[in-house]
Amino acid sequence: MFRVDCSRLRFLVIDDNGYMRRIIRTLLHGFGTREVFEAEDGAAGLEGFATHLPDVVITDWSMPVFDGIELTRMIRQPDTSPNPFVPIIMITGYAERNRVFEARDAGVSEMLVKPISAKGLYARIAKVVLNPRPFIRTDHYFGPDRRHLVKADQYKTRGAASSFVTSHLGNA
Amino acid sequence: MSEHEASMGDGTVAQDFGDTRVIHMGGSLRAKAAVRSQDAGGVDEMSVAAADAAMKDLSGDFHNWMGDEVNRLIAAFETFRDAPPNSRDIGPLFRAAHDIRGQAGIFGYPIAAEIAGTLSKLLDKIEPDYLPMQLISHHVDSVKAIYRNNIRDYANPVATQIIHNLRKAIDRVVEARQKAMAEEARFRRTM
Repeated sequence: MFRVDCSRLRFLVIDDNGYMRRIIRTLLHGFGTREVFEAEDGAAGLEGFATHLPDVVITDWSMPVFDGIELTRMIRQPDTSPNPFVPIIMITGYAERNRVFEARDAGVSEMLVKPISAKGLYARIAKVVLNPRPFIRTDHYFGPDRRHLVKADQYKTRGAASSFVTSHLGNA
Repeated sequence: MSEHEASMGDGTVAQDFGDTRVIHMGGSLRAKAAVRSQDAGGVDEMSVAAADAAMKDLSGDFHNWMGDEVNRLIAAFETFRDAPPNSRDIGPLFRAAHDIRGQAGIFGYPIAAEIAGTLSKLLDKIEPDYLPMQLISHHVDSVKAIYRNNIRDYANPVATQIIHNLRKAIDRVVEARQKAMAEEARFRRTM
């Protein structure tokens, strides 16, 4: 079994609410993290992302001007972002199914619905560090595989099937 | 490595399937921060306990923080209500309600969180021109009353009655608006 040593990770926390930033920072320090950078909106968050190159981004959804979804889309630009693969954990008050799909489609790695707990936040961090999902790049999407339960074998199977189709039927 | 696979360095491997590329991360973050643990399920119980303890130290401030958030909600509502109808900005009021929805539970006011949640839903689903001001005012007053009377649990009969009444009122408003929109769409189709 493995656990995450959070003292080795650098976090960027983006939330327009100062109290929420304080709570998240307190939890991260409790986990042993030393490097926690903060930003109070999406624009400042994007700047902080380029400056500090965090290992993990934790962002709120609802923020003025430039929200967490727009921020995620900017970070997931494969050709321009300093690190389009960075894990993004979205902490939000939204729990509705359509919101979860919207976040997933923007490229969010994990969601955590408020009210948050130490255990819940740690579990999300552990998941993105220890069991990151593969990334998918198509013409219309770049981000973690949106199917949470895909096993490595399925990619192999899919690769084999693709090879079979190509070798037997060509690319028609 | 098959013909569909390509190394991207750092142990990262990409597989191509037509117009889809699957990129398996090399595990650099895992190599940086993963350590062997005896804890079942990979949960670092000591880290979680330390974070819980840190939150407990912080919790002495929660009552005052909640007061600040309630005051922000009241101020946002008053600004929204008093602005001319054509220049009303729903954003600050929505964010104030949405923040209480997310944080009041942490601050020890789960009922206020629930009321703010129904207010957020109302503000999110109804266009600003059709928002029933009276219903918004009921919500803001309810959150204020919950906070000022320090009502923290669902066993309080006043709290449960407030939630029940507000939910019914909201459902009626949302349903009426959706019916009106459907009627409007039907009318347009027949034009």
